[in-house]
Amino acid sequence: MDPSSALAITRGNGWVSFLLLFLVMLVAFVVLSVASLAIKLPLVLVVGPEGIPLVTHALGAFSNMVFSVITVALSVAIYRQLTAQPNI
Amino acid sequence: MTDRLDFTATWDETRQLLRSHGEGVGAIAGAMLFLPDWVANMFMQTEQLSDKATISEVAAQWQAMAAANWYILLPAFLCSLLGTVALYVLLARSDLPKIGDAIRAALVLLPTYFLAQLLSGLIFGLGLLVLILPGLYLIGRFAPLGAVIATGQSG
Repeated sequence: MDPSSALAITRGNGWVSFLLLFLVMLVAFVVLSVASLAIKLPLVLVVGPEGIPLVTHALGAFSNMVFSVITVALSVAIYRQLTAQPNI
Repeated sequence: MTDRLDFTATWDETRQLLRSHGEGVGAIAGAMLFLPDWVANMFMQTEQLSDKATISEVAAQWQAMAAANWYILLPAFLCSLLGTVALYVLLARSDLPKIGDAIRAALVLLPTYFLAQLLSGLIFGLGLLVLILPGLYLIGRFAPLGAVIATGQSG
């Protein structure tokens, strides 16, 4: 196993790979922020500025999880596309 | 090897991967990414940062918080790292479709993945320090690193 072969796979596609990751993360960030706000806002209005810590922390952990899953899936898809091993 | 990365095909492939491994991804992500993060945040002792704190004061507070909560943060970090590698194995290797097999393979790959992430993180950091753009370019170049480690592909 040679981790540097990641560099060989993305030769000539560095910016395209970055742009794809950036755009998907940007969209995910906006969607998660809006969804999170929609859940947090009523709690803050009812309970106070702290909200309910159990729910607030769950929302944070959920957002982190979604980002991780998307990063992994996108990374595997980039790998498969550039090594011509598409799953579809 | 394909010459040019196709945005649409790559996004379609991402969705297809998540759809076809939805159950495994949900189980691993829920148990090894979401739960440790949630529990760690619930039990961590944190202090409210002042709005007027300087960067060095913020860094010092973060350092103090990490030192005070290492016994919560370390297991949560290791669990998340293992979960991430298990996800890479599950999605990148068609020969290990079961969750248990993916986690067992991830345990073996964990040190390599950790070292590779550490090294690539240092390289991104250096690139970002130089002119920002080289760091961003390197993020793109190292994008399939996790998949390369999971499949055990050699140069």
